[in-house]
Amino acid sequence: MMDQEFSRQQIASEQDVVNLRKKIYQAFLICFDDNSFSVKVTTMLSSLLKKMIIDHQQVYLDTEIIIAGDYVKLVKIRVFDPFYAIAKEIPDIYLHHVELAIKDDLLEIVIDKMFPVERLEDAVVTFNERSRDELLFELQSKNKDLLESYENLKKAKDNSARMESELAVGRNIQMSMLPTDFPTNDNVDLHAKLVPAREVGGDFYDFQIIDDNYLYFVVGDVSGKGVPAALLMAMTKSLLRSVAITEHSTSQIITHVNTEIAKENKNNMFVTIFLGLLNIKTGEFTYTNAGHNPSYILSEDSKPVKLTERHGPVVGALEGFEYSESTLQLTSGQLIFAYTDGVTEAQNTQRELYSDEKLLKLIETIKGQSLISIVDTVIQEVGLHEKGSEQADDITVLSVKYSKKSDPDFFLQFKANYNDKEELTSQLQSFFLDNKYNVTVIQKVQIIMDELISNIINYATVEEKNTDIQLNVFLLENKSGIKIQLLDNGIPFNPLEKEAPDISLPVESRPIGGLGIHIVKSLVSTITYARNDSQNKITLLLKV
Amino acid sequence: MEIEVTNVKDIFVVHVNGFMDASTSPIVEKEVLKLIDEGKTKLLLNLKDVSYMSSSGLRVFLAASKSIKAVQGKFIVCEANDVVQEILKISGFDLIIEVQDKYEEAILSF
Repeated sequence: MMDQEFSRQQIASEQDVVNLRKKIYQAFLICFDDNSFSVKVTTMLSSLLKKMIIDHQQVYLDTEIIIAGDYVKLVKIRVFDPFYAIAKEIPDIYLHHVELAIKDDLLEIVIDKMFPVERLEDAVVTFNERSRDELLFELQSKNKDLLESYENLKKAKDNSARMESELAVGRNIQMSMLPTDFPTNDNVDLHAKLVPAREVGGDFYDFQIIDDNYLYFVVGDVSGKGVPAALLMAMTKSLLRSVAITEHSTSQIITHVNTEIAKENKNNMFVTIFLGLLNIKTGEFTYTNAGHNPSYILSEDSKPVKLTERHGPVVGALEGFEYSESTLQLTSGQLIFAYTDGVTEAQNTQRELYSDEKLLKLIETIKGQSLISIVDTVIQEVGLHEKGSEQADDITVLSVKYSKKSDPDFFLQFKANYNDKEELTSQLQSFFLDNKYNVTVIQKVQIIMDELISNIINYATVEEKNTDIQLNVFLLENKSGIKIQLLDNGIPFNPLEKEAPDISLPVESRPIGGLGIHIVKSLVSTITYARNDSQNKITLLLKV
Repeated sequence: MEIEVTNVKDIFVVHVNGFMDASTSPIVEKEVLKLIDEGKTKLLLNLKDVSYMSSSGLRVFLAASKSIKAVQGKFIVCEANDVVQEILKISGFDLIIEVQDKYEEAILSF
């Protein structure tokens, strides 16, 4: 008979309730052969027990079977606490065949539902034996699981912490390498900005004025991330700089550096580089592009020019490769715009790239702004594009402006009236004669000045303003040409916008307006108008 | 700039010495229109000593041509130097006013 008794259960925690619930369910299912009933009784019981262990440190559960003939007539389950009475009010649960009652400080649950006595043995075995093993097994596996997940958690924590700290170290190396003492002098201005991504990214830039004659600058992107990428970056940057100090050919600089890096490159990492060397005295610009995004040349009065030449593969990939270079002549006021793929490949929430087209459009509209503003605007626009999605890669923009700020060879400031203009005419005449310029050239300059200045005077009169005019004349080398700047602080007026006159009309219907500008345009090689700092500025070039 | 007016029979020759720009051209214009007002119908503008001329000079030519046409007269320009000729060409004025290279030819073509 001992085998036919359900063992006493100790319940001290919610986990115990869960385990017990499983056992009771299985035993009841065997006894009553009624799933729905078994679920109901088990659920009721477990919810009661759960409530009890809130008030009681532990409770015990005994089961008594009342047999009548071949049938089990009643199942009595008693729940008690050996130290404290079960005094809780019985919840108002109605379940057919089940009665709850508090009796002698314990809770008694009587299940009045018959089942064949031969089922009892199986039920008891299931309840007692299997459940014990199960409990043990469960406990063991729980422990194992717990231990494992704890270890995993610890490992994951270590991993991500190690990863984070490695990224942070890499990031620190990267950011500390970026110079911010941007050069700005009479001939060259440079500004750059790097916005690091949270994880991936190995962008860098560098610059240095060498021998007061050259501006060396570089924009690069190291493959990979973390400390190895940062170290490669540091190595590349230092190598480039040290070679650039003595070597004034960008192809030679990159060829040297590539060989050094390829030799040591065990991690198969590489660097894309756009390297430029600008002769700040002459404007001669030499560059080598090693697998990097093409840079742009921006001019005040023409469309951006994309420097599409590729001079070799990414640096670090092919030991001994001989890189090539390109050279072009910058004119005063032109800009070099370099960047990394973090700009053009920035993605919005729809995963659309910022794209070359958008960048080209943007730089064309902002090229007239200050360098700082150009760099900031591009960074800002890319940021707006990326808004809502995480910045996937470093974003780097570097821009250089070349200017030939020499003093004009002839300079005069005067008022917008005909007396002052006559004075200018005679001074200009003497200046060009003294410099032994051809009479025809002088005549042309005088005609041009007459047209432009009388235009300003006429507009000044209309507006009754005391307009100041400033004339700067630059004589180009070898008498190859004359550059003239004419500035006035009158109302905004672009004479170049005047329509060309119809020169085929007969005398009677011939208007005279517009002819002057038409003549000027015909005599000069180039002429541009700009409105800056409340001044009209006309710049023209007369080839001699 | 100096202006000298001489005459060969009934042809009145305006000789300008200097340059014709926005300041000086109005003086030439005034002189030429005065002659037309006085009833002269044959006018020759001799540019032999005009070093350069801006569109303000063209204004003079245009005013002179229009006024003289009204009185069935004739206005001729001669002896323009290379730069002035270029200005005439650029502006298309070589097609709408009579331009003669040489002073003598100009006198003969009245």
